[in-house]
Amino acid sequence: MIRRLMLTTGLTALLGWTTGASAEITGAITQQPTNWTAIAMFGGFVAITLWITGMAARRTRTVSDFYTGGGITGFQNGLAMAGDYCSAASFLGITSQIFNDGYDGLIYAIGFLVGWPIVLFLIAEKLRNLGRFTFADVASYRFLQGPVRSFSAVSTLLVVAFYLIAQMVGAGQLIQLLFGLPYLYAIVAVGGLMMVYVLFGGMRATSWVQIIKAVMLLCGATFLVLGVMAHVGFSFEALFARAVAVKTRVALESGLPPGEAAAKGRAIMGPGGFIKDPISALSFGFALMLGTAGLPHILMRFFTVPDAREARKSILWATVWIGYFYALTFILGFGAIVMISFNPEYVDAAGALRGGNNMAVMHLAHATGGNLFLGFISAVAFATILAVVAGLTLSAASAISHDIYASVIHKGAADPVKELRVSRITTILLGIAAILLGIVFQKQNVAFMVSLAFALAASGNFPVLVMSLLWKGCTTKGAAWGGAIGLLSAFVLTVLSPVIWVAVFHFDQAVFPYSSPALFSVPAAFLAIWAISVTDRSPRSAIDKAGYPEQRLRSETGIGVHSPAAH
Amino acid sequence: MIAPSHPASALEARIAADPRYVALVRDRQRFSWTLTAITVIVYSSFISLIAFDKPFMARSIGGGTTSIAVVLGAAMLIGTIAICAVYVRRANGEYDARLAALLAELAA
Repeated sequence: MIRRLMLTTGLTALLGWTTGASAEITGAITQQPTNWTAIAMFGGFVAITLWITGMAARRTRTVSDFYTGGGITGFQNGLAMAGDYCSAASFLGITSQIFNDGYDGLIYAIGFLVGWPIVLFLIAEKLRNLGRFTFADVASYRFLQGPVRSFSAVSTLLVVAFYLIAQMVGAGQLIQLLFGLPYLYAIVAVGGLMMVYVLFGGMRATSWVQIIKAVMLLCGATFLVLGVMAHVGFSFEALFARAVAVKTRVALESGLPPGEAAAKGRAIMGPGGFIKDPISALSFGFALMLGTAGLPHILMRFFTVPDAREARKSILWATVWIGYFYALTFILGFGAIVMISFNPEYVDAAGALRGGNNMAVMHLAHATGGNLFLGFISAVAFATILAVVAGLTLSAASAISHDIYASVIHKGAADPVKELRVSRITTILLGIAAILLGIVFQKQNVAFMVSLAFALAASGNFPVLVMSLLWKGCTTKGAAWGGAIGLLSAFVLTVLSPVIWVAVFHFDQAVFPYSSPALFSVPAAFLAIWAISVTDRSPRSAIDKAGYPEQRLRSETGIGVHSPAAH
Repeated sequence: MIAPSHPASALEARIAADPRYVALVRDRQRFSWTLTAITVIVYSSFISLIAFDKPFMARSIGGGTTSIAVVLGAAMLIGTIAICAVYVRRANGEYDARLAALLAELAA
């Protein structure tokens, strides 16, 4: 029972799936027998990535190597962004959600994708043209470094912390499910491996771990989809018709009269209970959309390509691969309905998935390619978590070493050797912290953490970036305090909302009735930045405004751009 | 290290004053804000349609099993990729070419 609760919260946490009650992933889970095929496959992945880390370590000598990896192409960076963004939970959670309720899983997937065009249109090229290692380089470009970089670093650490805890807890629980190993093993393995990748290989190793993982995930999912489509004669209409027939039969067997059973079967083709209240839905949608444009580990990836041109290509490729991935998960969910619903090997007499309600795609892998393929897909799921946490760790380490240590404490004149040492020490501390947090939060309800991370990124980083890039009247005070107000309002509203106030603190009624704060906290941040800037009469505000024309010119033309390979 | 307050070079001043640069920035900005507005409006409409008219979304297309919701969902995925492609094509093509020509001429 406890383990069941843990798994439920872990996957909901990874998904940040909090909009509708029906989206809650529930169901009994049994720890699986130790899966040696999966462990061997994963061992292979680890061996390859460690070998790459070894190669990367020999070429990681300067701070620029560590933060940017010496430069990759837009295509490679697009794959790495997809690897950074597609989580194990989307793969397992969305397919299982579709297996259970049909269409609703797609609504969530679309929310995750629509942030990318916003990043592309509003900030990508300016970010690449002005920045060097972190998004704070850009946010603080014409401002007093101390306040704006301190805000950016705090914001980065908060976003990373919530995202990381959710990933660690989810990893521990997935490992029980997929490999049949204890929670603690998984936490230590994930924390230890991500430390090794980042510590020795920096951005170069992180990029390649993400690229390899993206390729494995996309290839595995494609193969599964081909298996499904071959089963239904490569016709989507046939796939949907058979899924509806299966769901109707399930409903009939549960004792419903034929008319209701048919309606229930048919219901998987349209939206269900995921979106009940439009304000929550829009707010959650905007948190996903604008949060993507404010995630520090995603923004950091822009500095791995040489110029704005490649930065734009990165996003196009990332969008292609992420969109393709979500389309695959949709087909896999319907494929699972058709192929495993009546197989006693995968589903028990009551109609529940064996091994827990998130196993749909795993059973589908077994049904399509046997034990070996099941092992491969399990290994992919674990590799996926590793790639995500490595990116998170690197961005947090950079916030400490580049933004705080080098830029705030040493005013931009830090010894590069010492800066590199600080980033590595930070990486070790972060790895240890991640393992401890994974243990501390093992039995806590962390369901709100990913959506909170997105809401914080949307309400803090995104408004500060947009205003500093596009509004000449923005001042140091406005950016630092306005951003802080955005962060704080997102945090407070989330605490007062049903996802924490009711689900974690067990109060009867939430103070703030909507499941995501973004619709309110993002405008609050923009308003605060504006109001504080226009009333700012400090001597510094004149310098901030005077710096705008030059910043604007450089952001538009790329003059003075710092290329990752230029040393 | 990035020095926020260092003086703009003579070249930068020449570029900033050039009407072709001003026109380029205006065109690109107008284009990116238009596409942003389209993205936000289309996505909000999609979510609103789901929130307010579920029976419409569940309606079948051409009498088969495939529903309007599935087709619109697929269109959202493809449309998101397509709108990125439209921007990248124009920004990496026309706008970059105009900028490169301008920079080459003014630097000479």
